[in-house]
Amino acid sequence: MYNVQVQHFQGPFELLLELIEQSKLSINQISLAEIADQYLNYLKQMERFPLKEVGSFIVIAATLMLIKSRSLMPSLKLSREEELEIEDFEVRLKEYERFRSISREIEKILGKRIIFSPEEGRFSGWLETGIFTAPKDLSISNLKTSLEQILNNIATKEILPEKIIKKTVSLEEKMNSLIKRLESKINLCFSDLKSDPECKKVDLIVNFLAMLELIKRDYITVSQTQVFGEIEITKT
Amino acid sequence: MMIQNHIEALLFLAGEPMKIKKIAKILGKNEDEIKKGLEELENSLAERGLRLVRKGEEAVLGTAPESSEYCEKLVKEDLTGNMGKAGLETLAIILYKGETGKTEIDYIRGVNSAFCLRNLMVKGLIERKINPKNKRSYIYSPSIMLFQHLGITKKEELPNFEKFIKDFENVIEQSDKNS
Repeated sequence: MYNVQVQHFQGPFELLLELIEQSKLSINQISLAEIADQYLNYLKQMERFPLKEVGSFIVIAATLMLIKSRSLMPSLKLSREEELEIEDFEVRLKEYERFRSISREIEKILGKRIIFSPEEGRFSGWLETGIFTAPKDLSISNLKTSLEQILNNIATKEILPEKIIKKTVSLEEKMNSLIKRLESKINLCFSDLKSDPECKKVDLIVNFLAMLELIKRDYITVSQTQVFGEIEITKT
Repeated sequence: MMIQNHIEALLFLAGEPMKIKKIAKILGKNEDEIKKGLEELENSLAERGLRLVRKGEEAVLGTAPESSEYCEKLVKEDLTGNMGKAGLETLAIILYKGETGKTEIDYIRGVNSAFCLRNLMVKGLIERKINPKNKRSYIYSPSIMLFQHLGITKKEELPNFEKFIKDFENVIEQSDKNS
């Protein structure tokens, strides 16, 4: 497992390249499949997620999972669209890499040896004889259009509608709380789980799924004496 | 006096980028004559403290990049400030691709570049105009001021420019084959 220093990445490609470079791999579908888990892990542990860019990070994660699935299951049938997406992805990443290295070259020279031009107004004094003559096209309406043009040139911030997303009930959480409860009590009834006033329908369903999963993992055994009767849970 | 001297005089007085068309109109010459004059001017300035910077149809006189250290003392201001990685990437794409739309920049960078583009535009390093192919979008290009900040007098002086163009053609060839 490679350790990536948690730092702020501008975009998903930058993060991906960083991961590939650290693993000393080159950009191809094999390396992308290998790196997919690391990419996801990284997203998980990222504390200060650049909120604005969440979408672009997730889109890339989806493509990575697709590439990985195909590498694990060569028989997986992909649609033409998905095939193209994967091909395109590799090309994009290479293209980004090229520009990233160019941008480093640009950084080295930007502002280092500036070619100055006379500043505005430095010579204009020689041209004017102290009398202000209004240009022919100076009019209120022209000024208004220019001002509007200036304002138009400043790109406006995109305001996206906000929506509150309900917290999801995680199966993992429910499993953990069930295990915890069983640690303090030897056996438990499924109806006990309902007694919590916070328990909504969805919690109940996920609780049930958590119970099934724990049975599968051989962590608990359950017994039910009659249909729709009480389910008793015991630790194995 | 030769035509290049007149051009030099005009550019000196203007102090800002001039369109070749305008120079031609003032001097009563055709644009080809002006272009030839500009080339002569560029050569004769090579050993002096001034440079001719050209971008497309525009030309401006500026100080030699070798003198920038001293000129900066006179101007006394940090003109570029810190660009940040995102700004530099966006600049690189616009510089090497010439005219680029936002969609293409976003596509290459994998993130939305609206904020970067806005910043670069406010700094005067890039220019935008309405995309002639799609009136609802814009295309961005480097400004002549950006060339000046990079200390180059034409785009061919950009680092690894020729190699980049060659690589770029290869990529296009490949994607043509793929499709």
